[in-house]
Amino acid sequence: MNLDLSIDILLCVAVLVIASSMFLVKQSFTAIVLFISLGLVITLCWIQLNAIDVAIAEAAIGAGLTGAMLLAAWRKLSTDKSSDKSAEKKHRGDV
Amino acid sequence: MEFTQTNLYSLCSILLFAIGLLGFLLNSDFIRKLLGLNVIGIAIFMLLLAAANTYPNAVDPIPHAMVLTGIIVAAAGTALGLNLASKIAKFARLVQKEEAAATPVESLLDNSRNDLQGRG
Amino acid sequence: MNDFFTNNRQVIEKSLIVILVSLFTGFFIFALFNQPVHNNELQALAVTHLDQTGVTNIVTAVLLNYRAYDTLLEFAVFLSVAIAVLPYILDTPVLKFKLQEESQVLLVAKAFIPLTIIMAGYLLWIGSTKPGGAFQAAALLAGCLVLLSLANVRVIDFTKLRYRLLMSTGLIAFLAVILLFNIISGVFLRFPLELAGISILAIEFFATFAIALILFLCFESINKGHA
Repeated sequence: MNLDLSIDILLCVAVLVIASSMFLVKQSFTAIVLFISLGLVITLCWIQLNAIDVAIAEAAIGAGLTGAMLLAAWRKLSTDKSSDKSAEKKHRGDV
Repeated sequence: MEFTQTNLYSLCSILLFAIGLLGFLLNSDFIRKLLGLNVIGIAIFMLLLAAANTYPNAVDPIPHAMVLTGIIVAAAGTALGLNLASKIAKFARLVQKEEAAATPVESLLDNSRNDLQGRG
Repeated sequence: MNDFFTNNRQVIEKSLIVILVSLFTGFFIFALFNQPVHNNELQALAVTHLDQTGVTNIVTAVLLNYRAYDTLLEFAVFLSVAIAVLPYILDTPVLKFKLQEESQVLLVAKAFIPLTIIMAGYLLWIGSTKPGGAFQAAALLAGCLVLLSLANVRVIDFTKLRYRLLMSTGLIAFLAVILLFNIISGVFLRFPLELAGISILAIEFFATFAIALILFLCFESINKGHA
């Protein structure tokens, strides 16, 4: 096993750990920040896979723009929740 | 099967697909669902790029082009989904306000309908 | 028995989902171990015919020459996404343009936007020979616009006709080039050898602005749309 493949194993483990912790954390904000960091680690994976074109596009779109969109939507949805918390609690209790 | 870079990334992409599918199906809020969809997309891109890298001296460019278009379409789809999610959240808030003003019997009916919409 | 199912419906559903997903995963791993080896026929074909495409970056050649119909349909899909998110931005009240001098985001924007525009132009230009191209340049331009939007500078009013036209120029330029060559040579979606490079560059140039505007519209409709 050479040095190159050990880097690949490290990147794969990092991707899997970040992706699974994204769905295990409580707050949506933490999940979005983890998604942005997942995009950056995936960029490194794609440089390892000799796909430089895709890596540039992923760093700009997958990590940057999608992250900005998710954060904007998170802000809007969380202001919705805080404006009427009691109704939201009742709703949660139903589920 | 020998342990090459392609096989390692293919295995990783299958596990990532499973994680994304579980996250998509088991979570109830919209942002987690869209994150799950995006993770599934990343897993599929990883499978394609791993197949393209079978011979590292002669990298196949066709999956690269497919993934490039796929990334942009995934971003656009996420934007559309987030717009629909905020629309649904706004609508659910409106229904809740009406429900607070309505009589108890009507509110029960509204509540069940609202529950369906809110869970998505 | 019935009570047990109604009380634990959530748990039963979730465990069913987990079991099904793990079955799928096991099947996929089994399929991975049994798949035939990827043969590189297409790569060899793409490399041997590269001198007929007008570009030397092989990914750009695949995107805009070998599989140009793919990219054409992608532009159409993209334009329909733009049309789909446009109503979300139209029902917002138009805010008065106000420049905040002390805003720190604006300071960052002033420092970064000229550099980013130069970088986008470089990526667009270099796309025919080295990694780069329309999509990457468009993403960088959209990043500039998002930064300006976060600094409360309203640069683009999507109700104006010219910005809507600019959004559709990617598809329009592509269709115009295809129709032109179709009328001249009578073949669908094939660039003549001597004009291939310049027509690909023209399509990429218009597509950059179109995709940048549509990506920015996607962000803006979420950020500024109905609260």
